[in-house]
Amino acid sequence: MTSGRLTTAILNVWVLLVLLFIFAPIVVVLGASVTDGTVISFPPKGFTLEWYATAIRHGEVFDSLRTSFVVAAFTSLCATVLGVPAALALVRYSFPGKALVSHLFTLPLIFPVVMLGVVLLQWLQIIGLARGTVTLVVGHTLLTVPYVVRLAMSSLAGIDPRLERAAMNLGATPIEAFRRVTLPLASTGIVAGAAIAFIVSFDDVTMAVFLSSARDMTLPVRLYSYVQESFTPQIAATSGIMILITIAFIVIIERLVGVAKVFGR
Amino acid sequence: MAAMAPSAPSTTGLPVRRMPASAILVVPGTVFLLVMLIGPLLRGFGVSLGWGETDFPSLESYVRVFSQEFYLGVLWRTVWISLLVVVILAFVGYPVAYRLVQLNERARKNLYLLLLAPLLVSHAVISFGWLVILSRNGLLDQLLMSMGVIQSSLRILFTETAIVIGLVQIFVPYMIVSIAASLTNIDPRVVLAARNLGAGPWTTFRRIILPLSLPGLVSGCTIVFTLSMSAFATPAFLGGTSVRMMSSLAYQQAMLVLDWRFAGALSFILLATSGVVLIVSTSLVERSRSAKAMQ
Repeated sequence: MTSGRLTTAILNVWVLLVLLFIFAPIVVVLGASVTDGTVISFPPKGFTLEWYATAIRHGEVFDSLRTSFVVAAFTSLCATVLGVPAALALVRYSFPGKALVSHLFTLPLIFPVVMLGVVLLQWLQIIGLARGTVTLVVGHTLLTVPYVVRLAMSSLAGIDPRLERAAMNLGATPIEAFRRVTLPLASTGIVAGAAIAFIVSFDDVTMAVFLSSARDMTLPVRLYSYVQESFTPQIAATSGIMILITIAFIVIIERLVGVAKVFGR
Repeated sequence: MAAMAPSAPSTTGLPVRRMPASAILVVPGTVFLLVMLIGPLLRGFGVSLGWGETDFPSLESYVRVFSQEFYLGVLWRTVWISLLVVVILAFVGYPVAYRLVQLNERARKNLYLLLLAPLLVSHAVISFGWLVILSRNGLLDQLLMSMGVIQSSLRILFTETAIVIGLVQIFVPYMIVSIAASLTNIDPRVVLAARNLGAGPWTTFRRIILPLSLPGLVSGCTIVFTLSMSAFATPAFLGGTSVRMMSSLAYQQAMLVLDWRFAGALSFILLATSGVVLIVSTSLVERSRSAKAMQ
């Protein structure tokens, strides 16, 4: 489907404009976060990392950053522990109810997150769990298990089960065979799944506004409460911190399985 | 050793082992989902029908959404904005998808990365960025004023326009990737055949490429529509409290008004609207496919 030179040139310009549009808010936030002045401005006046220092030292921001990290880390752990074994069973074995289970694991993705927030908060209150870190982990695990399962399945599907059987023939127990043969081979998919679970939890706004408390507030929710009052370079720096963490994870995930794989390409 | 009975589609091409005992691997995850997903959903549905409040199931909350002008307005606004976003993205995204599939493998991978990586940035951060750009005398205003296009602030912030801009920017990659998937599946020989028979580039596009890429386009539109309908952060940041969409209305009813029943009804209506669109669009694609097969 090759095009003429003019068409190609026009298309290239279009792609460039779209990319600029996609990155505009990110670039603006990063730029505004390093301004030397006291008000938000873009392009920034001067360059300083002072706002990042102020942001980190700010008690609320620091607490929220820590809450976000803790929640994301536990979410990642739970989603992996729940999702990877399930992925293994779905890829390798057949059992009654397999199709239903398979659908169940992708079900969270089809519901509006607001809806999940509404019903889950009520439910957790009935169970007796107050809003906070634990409820956040529960909600985020719900959101991220499908990603973990998908990535793990795609990784495990590429591994020949005969390798495990060969190991067992050579004397390994099934668990040893899994641990020393399959697991290392599937590690990229598993680690990528854990990374995705982390960043999705870290980024999440919708579920978090329902499940956060005054004491355990994630950074995105904190950001939301700030912007309702004013925009300052400090807020830009707070957002900048989030962007930098995201970039770190983009690099990690790209290295492991490629960001495209996460979205099914 | 267990018998090697192939009883389910195998993903490795090797016989899938029948092993009911393996089901234990899915148990923790399944239990978690049953308890934390299915349970809350069922209860939420019951509550929306009045469970705990009325003696019999009552559709009163649902009727309220459709009968009171304010709530109907919010629902309509949500649908309208989502449709607008879809139409804009269909036009904005198609050329990018077209160019994407033309690129060589390395360039294509790089473009995919550039398009998909921003999806991992929090919506809160992105919406904040748009706040800075679209605010009164913010970046956009200053840019247009310095070029002499406008004299005073456009006042885009806290309007539907701002929400549309924000949503369009966030969901671009989904549309592009969907369309690209369809375009990649087009057999190049069909295109060549058309050119050989004398069709010019525009005719080839209009009568061969575009129709064949329709499934991807429809799928992209459906995905973007569903995501727009459910969007929370962007409308909340950019619309403020004056321009509400369904998701932030549900939030307000649940958390501020503490009317869980109504919030539940709003949520299920939101889900149903997206579901209806999904079913309609899927059946449209199916029907066009079978209609073509019969020609």
